[in-house]
Amino acid sequence: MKNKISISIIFVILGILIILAPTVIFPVCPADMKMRCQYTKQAEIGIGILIAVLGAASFFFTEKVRAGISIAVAGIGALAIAIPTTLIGVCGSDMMACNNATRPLLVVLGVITILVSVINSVYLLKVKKA
Amino acid sequence: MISIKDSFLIKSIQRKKQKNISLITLIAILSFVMIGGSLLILVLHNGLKGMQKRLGADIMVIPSECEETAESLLMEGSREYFYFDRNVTDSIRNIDGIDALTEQFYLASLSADCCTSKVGIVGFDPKTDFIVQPWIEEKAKGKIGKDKAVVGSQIKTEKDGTIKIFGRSYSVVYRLAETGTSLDTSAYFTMDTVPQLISDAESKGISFLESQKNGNTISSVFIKLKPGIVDSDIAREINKNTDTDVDILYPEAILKSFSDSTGHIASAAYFVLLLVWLIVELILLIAFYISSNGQKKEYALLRVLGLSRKQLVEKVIKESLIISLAGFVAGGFLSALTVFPFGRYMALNLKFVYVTPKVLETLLIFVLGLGASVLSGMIASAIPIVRICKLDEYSALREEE
Repeated sequence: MKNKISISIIFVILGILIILAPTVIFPVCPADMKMRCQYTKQAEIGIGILIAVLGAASFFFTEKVRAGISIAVAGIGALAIAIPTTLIGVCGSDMMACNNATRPLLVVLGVITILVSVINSVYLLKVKKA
Repeated sequence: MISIKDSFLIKSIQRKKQKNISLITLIAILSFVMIGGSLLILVLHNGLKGMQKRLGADIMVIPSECEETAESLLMEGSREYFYFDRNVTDSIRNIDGIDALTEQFYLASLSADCCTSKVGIVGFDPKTDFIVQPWIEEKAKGKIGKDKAVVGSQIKTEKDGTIKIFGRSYSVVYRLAETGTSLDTSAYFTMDTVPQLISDAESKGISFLESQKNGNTISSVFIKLKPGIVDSDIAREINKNTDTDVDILYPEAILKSFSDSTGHIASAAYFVLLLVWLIVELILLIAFYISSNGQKKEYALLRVLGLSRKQLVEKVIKESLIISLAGFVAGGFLSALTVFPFGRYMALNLKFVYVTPKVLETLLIFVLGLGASVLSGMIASAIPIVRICKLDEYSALREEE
């Protein structure tokens, strides 16, 4: 029960943080120019919603399903890192917030997401079973 | 004899979960502050060193009323430029006390959109230059010439090792080391490439004055003085000898105000480091003192069960080692997660120069953090060790019954 609640809450918080990172915490460049950081923002909002929804959903399922959800979230976490770094990217100048603040924040959030979900799925599949 | 198995040790740590988690948190905070603070100090010092080396001129002559622009050009990478006539150099050249003198020309590249950063273009004269070339390796020096570029560390080059400026490609012969200043986002060309850059820029819609186009304009003159010469004397001479109004900057003085502010941040960081260490150590000592008080009976029982004093001491040391290591891993991970990704952002906001620390320096700092965590744990565990050595099993067991 403890694991169920805490993991759901952590995933929902991580999802919300991923949505807030490019919009509120370190907003990317203004929308009047079509720039890469704009598309990154849109993609990350989608990813954040996905992680938050999966986190909320995992509350209602059994351990095995929760382990599966965790594995999926780990993959989505990798995507959260790949979008601002390779798949879409951000603006080129390191004087810009999207380059020196939004991108690293998204990478850090992605790393935390992967770590939490991997540890959780290992815990659910190996430790709890044993 | 019973030997203390590791599983026993882990169980013993797990049993006192609450106490140990708070101890691990404390050590994590300690190593976070130690590693983060040391990295910050390192970054500050590296930045300052890079600046000091690179601004190797005593006097910088610029057009009048451009003082602020020139300062921000040197430090923050502003891309507003200024020009004056080349004959300024000739009127200064013969002043006594000048050891070396070189001209530079500045121009900003267009940025197609906000996604590509503006590149600062610096034209230098390879024959007289003492600002750029000392930082270029001997091997690359021979290759410098017309249509060749030397770039700062942050400039992105094309896959084939060229850089595109105003639609024309230039092959890059050397990449300079990072300084954390505008020098990193600049590209350096020899003066004979400048007219071509200007005409390319003009075709892209930048307008120039007639005098700029015929190659008779420069942006600044850097002067190195002979030893023992007072810079203000030379400045007076320069003002007297030139027909054009000029301003005189002392890069050394700019650097000094910069190094002062850096010094303030660094000393504040040292102070916080020391303070945090002291507080954490104090809390650890108190925590170990209280817990060893409560553990008296446990120690006595273990003694009665046949553990020697040495084995008990070993157990305490191993326990505190495991706690310190766990704390270090958590704190080190946290500080790596803050300093490396956000260092550049913090540097921009706090106005200090960010130079990425070298791998070896970083490793050294992490080892230092590890040392600090383990040492703090060891010092604190001295209390239970002394307790064990003085332990009188009989009365300890009786006391708490």
